[in-house]
Amino acid sequence: MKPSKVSRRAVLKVLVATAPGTVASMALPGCSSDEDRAETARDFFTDPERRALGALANIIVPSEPGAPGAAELGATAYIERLLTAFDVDPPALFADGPFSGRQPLPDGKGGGDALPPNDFLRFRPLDRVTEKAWRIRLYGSKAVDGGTLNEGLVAPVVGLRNLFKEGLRAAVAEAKAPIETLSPEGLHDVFAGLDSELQKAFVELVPQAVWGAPEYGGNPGGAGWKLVHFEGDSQPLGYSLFDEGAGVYHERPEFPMSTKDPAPDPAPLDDGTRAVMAQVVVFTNGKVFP
Amino acid sequence: MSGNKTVLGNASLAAFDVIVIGSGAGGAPVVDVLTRFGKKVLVLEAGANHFDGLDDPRGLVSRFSNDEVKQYSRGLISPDSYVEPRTFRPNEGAGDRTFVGDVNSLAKTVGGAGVHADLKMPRFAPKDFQLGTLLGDTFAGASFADWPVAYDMLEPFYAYVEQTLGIQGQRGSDPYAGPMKADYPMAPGNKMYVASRIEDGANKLGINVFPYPSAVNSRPYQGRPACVDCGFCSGYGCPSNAKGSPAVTMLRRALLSQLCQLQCETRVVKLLANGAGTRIDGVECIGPDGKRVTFRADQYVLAASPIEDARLLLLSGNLGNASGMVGRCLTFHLQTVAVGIFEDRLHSHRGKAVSHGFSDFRGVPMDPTKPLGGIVEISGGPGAVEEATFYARILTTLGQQFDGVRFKRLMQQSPGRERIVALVMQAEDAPQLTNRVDLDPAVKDLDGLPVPRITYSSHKFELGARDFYAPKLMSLLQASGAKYGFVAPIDEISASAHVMGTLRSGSDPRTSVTNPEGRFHGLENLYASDGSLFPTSSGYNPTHTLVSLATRVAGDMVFPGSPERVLA
Repeated sequence: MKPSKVSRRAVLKVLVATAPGTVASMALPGCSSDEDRAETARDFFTDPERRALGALANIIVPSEPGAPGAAELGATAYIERLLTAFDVDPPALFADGPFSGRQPLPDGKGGGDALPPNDFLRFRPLDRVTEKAWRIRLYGSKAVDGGTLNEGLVAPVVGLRNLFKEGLRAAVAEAKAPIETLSPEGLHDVFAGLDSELQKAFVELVPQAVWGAPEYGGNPGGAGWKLVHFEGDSQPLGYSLFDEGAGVYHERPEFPMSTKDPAPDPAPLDDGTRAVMAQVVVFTNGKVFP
Repeated sequence: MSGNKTVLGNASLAAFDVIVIGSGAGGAPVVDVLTRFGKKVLVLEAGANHFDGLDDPRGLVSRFSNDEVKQYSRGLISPDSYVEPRTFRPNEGAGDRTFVGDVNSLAKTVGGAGVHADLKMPRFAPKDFQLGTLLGDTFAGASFADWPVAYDMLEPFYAYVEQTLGIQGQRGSDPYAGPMKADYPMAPGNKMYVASRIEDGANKLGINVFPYPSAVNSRPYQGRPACVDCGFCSGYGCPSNAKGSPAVTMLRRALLSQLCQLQCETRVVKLLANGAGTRIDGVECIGPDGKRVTFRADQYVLAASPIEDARLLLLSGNLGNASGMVGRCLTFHLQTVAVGIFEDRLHSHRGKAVSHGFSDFRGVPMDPTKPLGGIVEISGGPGAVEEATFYARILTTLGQQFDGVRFKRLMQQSPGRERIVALVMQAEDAPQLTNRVDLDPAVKDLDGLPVPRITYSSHKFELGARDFYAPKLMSLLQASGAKYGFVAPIDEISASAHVMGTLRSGSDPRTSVTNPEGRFHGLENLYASDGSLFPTSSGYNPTHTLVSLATRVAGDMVFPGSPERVLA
């Protein structure tokens, strides 16, 4: 929900250029309604809403035999924890560091096997400015003292809590059967009927849940990373292991940095992905090289 | 709400010789030099601190991590446009603004943008300091100017910074670079596989790929470990402090001196001038608790970034602006990004963001066959969350209904992380008087202060260089074996983190804001020491020159006329 400009990885340039609506979202018209701040992490969603949330998240990352979808990968817990972040102190927004305890400390000899403690289980305190921004993001600008900074110039911010709660409440009420029991077509119809801002929130938050650090509530045991052949957080071991005695780097044989991976490609490009790439090439006046 | 520690260093200091506004790449070098020569310094930083023990000789622990949610998605150290927006318009004819939100914001934290940057640190070349003379008025609407500092004058400061931060590199490997009197203190680290693949193509085309100089340890250095190439570098604070950011090198040394106090989460909102407007008497701030407080010293240094520096002067009653140049000649680098997707996996998310690059497209002044472009970074791929954002936006753009199965396949097959390379040319951005920072007439921040308004359009100078070199970047992708290639469209609002200009330095007070030593014309005790001083942008990453120039500014504050004496 917060486009970051800190990364200079060049791929971001493509993202911003192809999705101007995202960076301009502050200027988009929105609606305001009563905010609900009484609910807590335990009961923020009702069980039917929670099941609906999981089913709709599976539209973004579907469940398949042998390949879990968003609900199994913790999307519901991630989103609920975000929406109730201020129920704990410090708020559950920014995990601490430096290490998660999933990778060992380098031993100075080109290896390592001693795991550090998991710092990600704690959260960073917020400063005055950051706290206000996140209260606006979660509760809405009208529910936060001083939150309507530029009324008349910028559309009010609809809080994520209200966006999800009201959207799911209405979807559950209007559905002819429990949402999680609907056919794929029925689910898509429900999704298409959601407020467009809520649809955007699903598209943005579900991947964070599935492929973000497990401590935020999703990606249980790194299952999301395993699904897409991603190593996840690599510190403190990393990929280049310094041998202090010899003064040289060694590489991890199974995950080299400087040479080709030794294992066969676990998921080669298929025709569908080639078609998407070809469309990107057309969209950008690029080339498919012979 | 529990909070961070907001006062670092010697908390007992109550009287200061110098106040430095900003603790990043422009402020840290000044604080370091001044305290080494006995000055008592107060540093005021708007952002929060995420280093434990930065002021403790017993140990330093970073609280940054390989965490995409924390930094990429939720922006731990990014100014939040819900409370600190900026506004944009392409030109004055576009009305008061065309956009409200995030416009070229840099990291706001102790250590500033030097924390999240991957600290690529090439020097500028000698001709970069002479473009006023070399280009003159050839390009209508551009305002090229010579720097008041020549390469030879800055060379010893470059060398000092290379040793102080710990820069890895290979002297002589860039045939277009200026002379170096000493080697880098560290050899290049490991080469990314993706760089080897591009070098294969470059060799066919006669392009010279070299190890990118960077302030990242390739061996244990000054108590900090060797980099392990974790893959979360650009956009991420370093978990191990192998990255020699100004925070963990210069600022830490100053904080350990007992002569420095750092107040975090403290926004400077006004410079208080004397009645004649010739001196600064104090600075008004909003502290961590939201209350106003005033600090005073004998001298003051602006190092809050070019956009915020200009904003502060304008908020302070248009201080230092007798020339009318405050906020003008704002430059970025026009980034031309050629993206290649390979058939095979390159695991380009492993390693620093960039391990190699080339300067063949930097160009030669006034040679139409070699227009002034910039250094090219051979850049790797993102983490999985950022990658997912890439596909989600593609699918949202291309399809009426979100295709979750294809989204999942894209993530599994990973063209945007495992198989991607981006060739990023950081091209010279022609300075223009009309590209500027001023105060938005209506939009306010959370404290009710007018926000900076950026008026900016690219000049045909850099657009021409892009048109010239983009096909060559595509040819390099093809020669390297990429299957798909495209050049990313230009953003109307630049996403570049290379922000320069606004307080141009020069000898003539009619055409510049600061003098050759960084002191404001007409304000005897106010200096600037960050990228705001740059008269031109060059075509190389700015941080090395920024830190070196800041060191020189501080040197002149200590030894007027002989700044190099602080290097001894």
